[in-house]
Amino acid sequence: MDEPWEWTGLARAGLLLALGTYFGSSYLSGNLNNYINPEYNWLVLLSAGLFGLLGLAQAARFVRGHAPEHSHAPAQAAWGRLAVLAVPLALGIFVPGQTLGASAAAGPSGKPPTAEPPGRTVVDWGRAFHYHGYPNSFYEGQAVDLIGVVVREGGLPAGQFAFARLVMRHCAADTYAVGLLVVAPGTDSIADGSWARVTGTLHVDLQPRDPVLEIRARDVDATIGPPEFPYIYPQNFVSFPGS
Amino acid sequence: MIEQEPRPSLARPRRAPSPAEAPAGAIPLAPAPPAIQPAHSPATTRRAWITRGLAVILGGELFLTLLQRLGLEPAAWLRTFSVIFLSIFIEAAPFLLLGALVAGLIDAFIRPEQITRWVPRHPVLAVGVGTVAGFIFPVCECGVVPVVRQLYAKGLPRAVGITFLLAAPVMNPIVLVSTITAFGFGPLLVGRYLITASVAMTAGLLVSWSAGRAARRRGMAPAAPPAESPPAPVAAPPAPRPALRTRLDTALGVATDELFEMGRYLVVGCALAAALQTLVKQDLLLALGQGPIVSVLVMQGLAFILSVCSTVDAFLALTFVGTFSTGAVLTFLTCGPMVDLKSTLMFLGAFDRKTVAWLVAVPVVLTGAIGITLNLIHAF
Repeated sequence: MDEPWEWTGLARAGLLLALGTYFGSSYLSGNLNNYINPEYNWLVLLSAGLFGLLGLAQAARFVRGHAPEHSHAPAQAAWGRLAVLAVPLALGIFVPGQTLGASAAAGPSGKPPTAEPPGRTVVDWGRAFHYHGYPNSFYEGQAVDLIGVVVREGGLPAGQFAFARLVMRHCAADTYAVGLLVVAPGTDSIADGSWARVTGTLHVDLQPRDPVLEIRARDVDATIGPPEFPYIYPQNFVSFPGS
Repeated sequence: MIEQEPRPSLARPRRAPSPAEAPAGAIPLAPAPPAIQPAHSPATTRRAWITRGLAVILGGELFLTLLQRLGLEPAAWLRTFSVIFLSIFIEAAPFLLLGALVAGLIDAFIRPEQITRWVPRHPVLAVGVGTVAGFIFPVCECGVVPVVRQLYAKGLPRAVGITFLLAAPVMNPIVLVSTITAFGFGPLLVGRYLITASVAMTAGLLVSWSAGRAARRRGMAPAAPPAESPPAPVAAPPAPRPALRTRLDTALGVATDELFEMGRYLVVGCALAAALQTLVKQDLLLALGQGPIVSVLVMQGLAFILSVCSTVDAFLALTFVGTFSTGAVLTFLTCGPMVDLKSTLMFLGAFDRKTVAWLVAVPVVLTGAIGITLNLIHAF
């Protein structure tokens, strides 16, 4: 046990097994919802299996006293490589996962996950308004019950806020926001980034140069917990007639 | 006329040869670490650690100042950075693992003489084989680097490896399905494949020509073999193969080495991509994306920074259709998978700097030129 490579061999086995355990536990705990589209969760399971396989093989080599292939590398360099590959593990364990743009964590936050109301989401209405070209009368007076994040943008008058959800195609690196304007007098104390449930009716405001789809809120509940799936995924878009 | 690329040595050592001893067309891998660790006195080592510690503290101070200037709260920034970093890493890790595993299997089960038998001697045919291989093997930009490293160690000609390295991430079957799903069978799909094949083959032929020229300069250019010549002779009869269990054990050992060797570049690449995404607003880039030339350059920059896996980048590109010109979107679809931040760092870990310069410059220049030309043609 005097040779430095022997210790790095053991550390490599430990790190690979720890990465396999982290990937496996993330898959089982639902923590992945903050990072990738659930459609690709199987890739994480594959990673867990491969990390575990390589870790066990490395441990077996260590037990048999085999040197790692690159045992001629300086011990410092070998420890450096180990340290770099340990960074994702350290961030995954010590920095709590959080939905982008929301101040409330999507993981355990003391509040139970809020069930997504049935029907169309903020993203469905936003996409329909921008891309489908329905007449304004299609939206006027439609009842909505939506979950989203309150966004306090500069320039909005009192009693109004932007209400958005992030769309995730594959992972958090490729998300984009879709939002609607909410008109809700007396809600200015709700903090930026809070999860909220808004019920009300849709209205198309023709006053600005470009028409704006807005929600005239009947109720804004900012005490809810984040939804189980904080992002909206393309596979869950609700289609509209003729779309 | 393009020079015939010489065969690499059949029994190639795992370490990279020095320029003086390298045969023409040999594979310029990144230099191996020294075999013997130089001795340092305890005082020297202590000074080195103190210097590093001071550099880390100074760097941290500067970074905190930068965050303050940008109006970002450090803890909130770290949480956002962590989410984006881990999302890219979690997405890329399985492909790197599969690539490392394939590299291990190649090391244990493929003999150098098999590689020399499969690859044609004519450079154009050889890079053609590299392109077709890219169409068949389902590896993205993270997995392809360890595979090519291992194929090089087995004697794959450099030009074929370069062609495969650039073609596979864009042309593989998974990307074909994702591109058809996103855009359907149309000009963007056909354009993506035609441009990638052209760029990959051009890069391969340029490397082949460069290797031939270097060999001629050294007076080592081999005479073209007669058309009916048999495959390159093997110096000695092959040794008996080890047992299957031993070879599987070797494969797993090599796969682990490849994972640690390439994984560090993936981690650094993911960190840089996440840092840029959290420090530079995409709106700024998108606001610049107007005009036939600037839009192409912006999309190249965006593809480089985002480092999204090639297997799914078609869905991301879908959102740019309508905002950006067709030439710019095609540039995003072709340049990004060939050259992005994390793959460039992985190239640096696998090849010498000159080869990395070829690998980055050829796709960037050619895809940029094609994208701009398409935009200009469309404008008139």
